[in-house]
Amino acid sequence: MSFKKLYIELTDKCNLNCKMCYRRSWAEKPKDMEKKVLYKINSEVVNKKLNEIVLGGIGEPTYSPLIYDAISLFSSFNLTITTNGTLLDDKLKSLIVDNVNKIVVSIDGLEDKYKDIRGFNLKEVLENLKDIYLIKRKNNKEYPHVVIQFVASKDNIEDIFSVLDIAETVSAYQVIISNVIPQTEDYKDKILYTRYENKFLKDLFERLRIHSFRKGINLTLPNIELKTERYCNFIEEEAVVVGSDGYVYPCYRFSHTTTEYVFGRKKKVFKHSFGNILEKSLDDIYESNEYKNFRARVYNNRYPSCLDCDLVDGCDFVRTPEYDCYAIKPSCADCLWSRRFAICP
Amino acid sequence: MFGYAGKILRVNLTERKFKFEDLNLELAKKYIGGRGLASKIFMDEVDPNVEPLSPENKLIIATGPLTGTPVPTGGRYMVITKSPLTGTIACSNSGGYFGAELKAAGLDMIIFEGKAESPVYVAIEDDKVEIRDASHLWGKLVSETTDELKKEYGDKSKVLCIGPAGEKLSRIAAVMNDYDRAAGRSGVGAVMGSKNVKAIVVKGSKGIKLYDKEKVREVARNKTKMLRENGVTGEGLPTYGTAVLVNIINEHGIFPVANFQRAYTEHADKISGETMTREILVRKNPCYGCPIACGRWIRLKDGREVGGPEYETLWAFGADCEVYDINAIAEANYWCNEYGLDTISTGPTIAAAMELYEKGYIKDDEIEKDGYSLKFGDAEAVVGWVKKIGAREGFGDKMAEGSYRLCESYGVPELSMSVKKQELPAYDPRGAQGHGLEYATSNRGGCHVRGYMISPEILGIPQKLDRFSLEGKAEWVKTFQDLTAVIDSLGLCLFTSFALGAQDYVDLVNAVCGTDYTAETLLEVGSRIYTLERLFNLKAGIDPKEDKLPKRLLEEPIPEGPSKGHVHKLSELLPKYYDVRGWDDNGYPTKETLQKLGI
Repeated sequence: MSFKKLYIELTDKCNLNCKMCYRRSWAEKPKDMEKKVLYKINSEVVNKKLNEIVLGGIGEPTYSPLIYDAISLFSSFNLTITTNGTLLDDKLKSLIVDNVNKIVVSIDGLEDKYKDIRGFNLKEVLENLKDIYLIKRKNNKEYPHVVIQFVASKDNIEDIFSVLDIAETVSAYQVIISNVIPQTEDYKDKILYTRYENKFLKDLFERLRIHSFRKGINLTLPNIELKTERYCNFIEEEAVVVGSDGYVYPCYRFSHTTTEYVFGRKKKVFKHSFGNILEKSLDDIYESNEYKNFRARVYNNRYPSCLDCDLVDGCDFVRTPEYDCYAIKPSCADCLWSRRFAICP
Repeated sequence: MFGYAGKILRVNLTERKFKFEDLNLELAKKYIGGRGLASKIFMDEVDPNVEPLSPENKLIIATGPLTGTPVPTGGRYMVITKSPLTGTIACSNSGGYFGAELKAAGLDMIIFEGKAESPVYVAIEDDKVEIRDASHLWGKLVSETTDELKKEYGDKSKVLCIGPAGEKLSRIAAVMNDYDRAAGRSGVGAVMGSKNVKAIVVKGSKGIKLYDKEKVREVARNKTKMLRENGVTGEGLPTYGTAVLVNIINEHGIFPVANFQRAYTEHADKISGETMTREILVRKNPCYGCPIACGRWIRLKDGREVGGPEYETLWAFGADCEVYDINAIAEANYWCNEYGLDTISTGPTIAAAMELYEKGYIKDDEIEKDGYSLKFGDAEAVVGWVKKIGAREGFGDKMAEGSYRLCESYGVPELSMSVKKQELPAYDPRGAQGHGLEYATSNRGGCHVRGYMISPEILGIPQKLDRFSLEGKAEWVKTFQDLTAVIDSLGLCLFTSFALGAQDYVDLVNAVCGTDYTAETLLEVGSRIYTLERLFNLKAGIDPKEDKLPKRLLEEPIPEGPSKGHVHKLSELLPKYYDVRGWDDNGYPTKETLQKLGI
């Protein structure tokens, strides 16, 4: 048994500094992936049958000097790029159309809101996406599918219908709405999801869903209320994340040391790696007892649930995911992804 | 044997005898089961020129290898026979719980032959089979019949039956099960009636063997997750039922109004899924093993709680008859279920009669005694006519033959909005070119669920296609038709295809049956089934010239709304379609194609 999906963070640097970005609460210095790490990854997966490789992570992959190498190296795989779409020059666009199956682009609002959040002109991103559509048409190619990702918060929710309209203009294949996971104090109250009944979002999303049918757009929506069911996509899809530092992580959340606000409650999240790819093979890391046990626990839901625990306001365990009250390390008990509030491509 | 029960029950009604036969597993691999395998058996055993309502016709009730298993939506069964409405091979498909129970009783199929001397029903409790007198049930409504049999055989038993419409050989009669589920189309209920079979009651306690239990669990979980996370199967259908389509289809200007004279109405929201949910919905009404639960349970105006109307039904008695009264439509739907009528044929037959009346073909004196008008928009009349059709009373007797024969009797068959004499469903193909090609080439006549092109042309699934464009549509239609044949034959619900692709069905069938299908070989089976059905129709004398659409849709542009000005361009699409199918220019499968498909 081996992993089936691989996330590669070519860099954790970014050319933008978006308001809600995870990078805002980082203490560490951002870095690019070393070439030898990328080639080590390639040597290990070149003969594997993987379901998907995602060039993504928390940084901007097209900002990495390795982007051309990476696309070429993994072109025979089902390849996805998650990007802000701002750095796509002609050469890169052609390379993407030739080799990539899916390009996921973040668009969080119309012109003004987008500029406010990302500090960049939306128009240029849309032009890039239109170019990709034209190159696809010219070459009679079905791929890459363009997916728009919208991170919803109180800041931009009024633009959500218009983003679907934008998606239609660039012939997007899918729109994914995710919720914001606040990283800074000033964002902590901007969440729209709730623990209990959420009539506002329920009504809004019902209307949005109908709007998506009208437009013929494949829309993925996040959870809006706390549900009992937990489901970690990283574990279910048998995925691993290789960070720009060459370390192997189980998911995005544990790939960087950061701060997050869980329903307003501040929490320090420490990165948690199961090994470095320059020291061990990916397979050995994935099959290590520690990693296997971690996956088994999460898969079988053998971990506490801080989100609806009565002790959450006083308990010391909830301040970091180092240990939880089952003495498990690292702890997923507060994870907002497994509750499907946040959705990763 | 995994997935399959391994047994076929053959009932000779004339001799009132039955026997069990072993399932031919080799043939099953080639045709999967359900629609595919039953069509193959039907074709091998029945002369395509048989008179549909004669004892020589056969009626097969078939499950698929995934029916009754733990995979999502595995509750379907099919009715295969020669249709008295179209003269083609018919395969009508239904959900509910009957199919899974039949499988639990250890049966893949029941084949009915001959004709009982007097009304009978068949009772099955695992290996115990009885052919029993049904004279006390004859004439009873569907709910009365079901209640009576459940009283005798217990609440766990599941009942399939016909209503008075099937007994009276209405060509638009359905086979009903679990009170309000219908194997609706092509008049299969009339064939059951012609054999004097009122009902089947079944109770099963045998399990179904799974090839790899652990794998089935994993795959079922995974596919259920995909269904839950998909916008259509995870939210649209669960929240509003199929009626979610009313406003969407109307806003694309392809919601047929007044017998397809127009294709847009400003009143659509009065009969929409949103309105139904707000005003009459009681709860959801799911089928066996289904996480989607698109079925509705609603409250009629008089307080009774019954099965609710589907999108097609809301349209059929709604916009097609220009009735925008959701209570009246719900009641018309209720009476269709009670009499055992296909709503998709019944509504448009009334709509066609309304146009005949509007244009002066039907005179007042013909309908005077019935006490109902044939004016578009008369909600009370629509409900009244449903009962008249079900009972074959007065002018309803004429309408019970379906819209084609009705219009033909007035010398204007072109006013029947049908293909191969079967009424078209709720999408005007002038604004969805691929969907129109699908109508024209459907093996059971006018039908939307042989290859639901609305999915890519309107809903953008799996990807958005330009609905007015002809480019690539022939290929899409073929793929959709083949995949649908596979899904039907497996015993799954077609709605799963909003979220699942060919490989997902491969995962499911291989885990359950231990087969080694690939996406390619499974789709080839779909193509084999489709071509086999085509061969039956050709041998039954259905000329390829019948691959057509009503003249109105080819010549009269849509007069208003978002699809204004469009006609259907069938003549430009058909040659390419034949080519893609490996059929000759005249629409006959070539020798090479038959050889390649192993037919």
